[in-house]
Amino acid sequence: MDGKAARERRETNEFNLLLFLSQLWSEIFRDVSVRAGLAYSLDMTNNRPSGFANPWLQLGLNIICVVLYELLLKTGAKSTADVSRAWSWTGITGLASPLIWLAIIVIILDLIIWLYVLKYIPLSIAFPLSRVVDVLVPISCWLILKEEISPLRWYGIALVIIGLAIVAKPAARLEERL
Amino acid sequence: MTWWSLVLILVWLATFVAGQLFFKRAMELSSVTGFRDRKTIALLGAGIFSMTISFLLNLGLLQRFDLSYLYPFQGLSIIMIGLLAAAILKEKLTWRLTIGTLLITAGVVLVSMS
Repeated sequence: MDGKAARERRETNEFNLLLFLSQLWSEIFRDVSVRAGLAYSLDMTNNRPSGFANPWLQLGLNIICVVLYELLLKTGAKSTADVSRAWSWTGITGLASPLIWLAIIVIILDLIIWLYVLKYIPLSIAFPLSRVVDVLVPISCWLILKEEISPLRWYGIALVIIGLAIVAKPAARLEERL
Repeated sequence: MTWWSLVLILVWLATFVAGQLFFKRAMELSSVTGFRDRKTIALLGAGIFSMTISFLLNLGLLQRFDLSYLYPFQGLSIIMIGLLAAAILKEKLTWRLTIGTLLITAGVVLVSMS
């Protein structure tokens, strides 16, 4: 009897690594936001975290991570394409590049953020919104690297933005319900 | 593009989409049962496994093709996830969400064609 009760207590006290990581993540950002003097509160009435733990803000962080690791992956993959012809189709040769490992760190960070986002936002809304990266990559190339954007590409960017606005509307309604 | 590349692209997409569905299901379950639940852990593990395969295949494909060539295929994943989230996760797929998703996909394809 005592043994069972003690075990149950131990189990409830034990922290799973993932739970710990996702909580750590929100704690860090709550802490940062408090220190930065930004508005922060945990709305107890609907139990949705706000401030830096806000899932929509975390979705934004997720998007920044994706842009970063896409660029790292492309650069790393290109530099290791000729390491071994026999194995290159598996992608395993890419691991020879330090850039790929840096990208993997960003991807793991991104995964934790993404899991946190999925806890609060439906997949059918969060995923289309996260595709804003398809616009951000060419636009950042245009702004920072001074690359040319063809008219066709601008039309594509415009379509994505209109689509995002349309998807964001049900997202706003969802926000009211939460 | 050879038939082999097409198979690799399809497997890459399928593992990516499956991973997302596993993750969402796991996170849904975790808010009910917590992370100690065996099913939640299994779903997270399945998600990480399929994402890893998808990641490696993506690297292999990036070594052979331009990023701009592969991007339209990634656009397909938006539609696939929208449909499967409605079918499997029972998420509500409104007309608005469908039209928005299709526009984003069309935009992604246009951006990568240019």
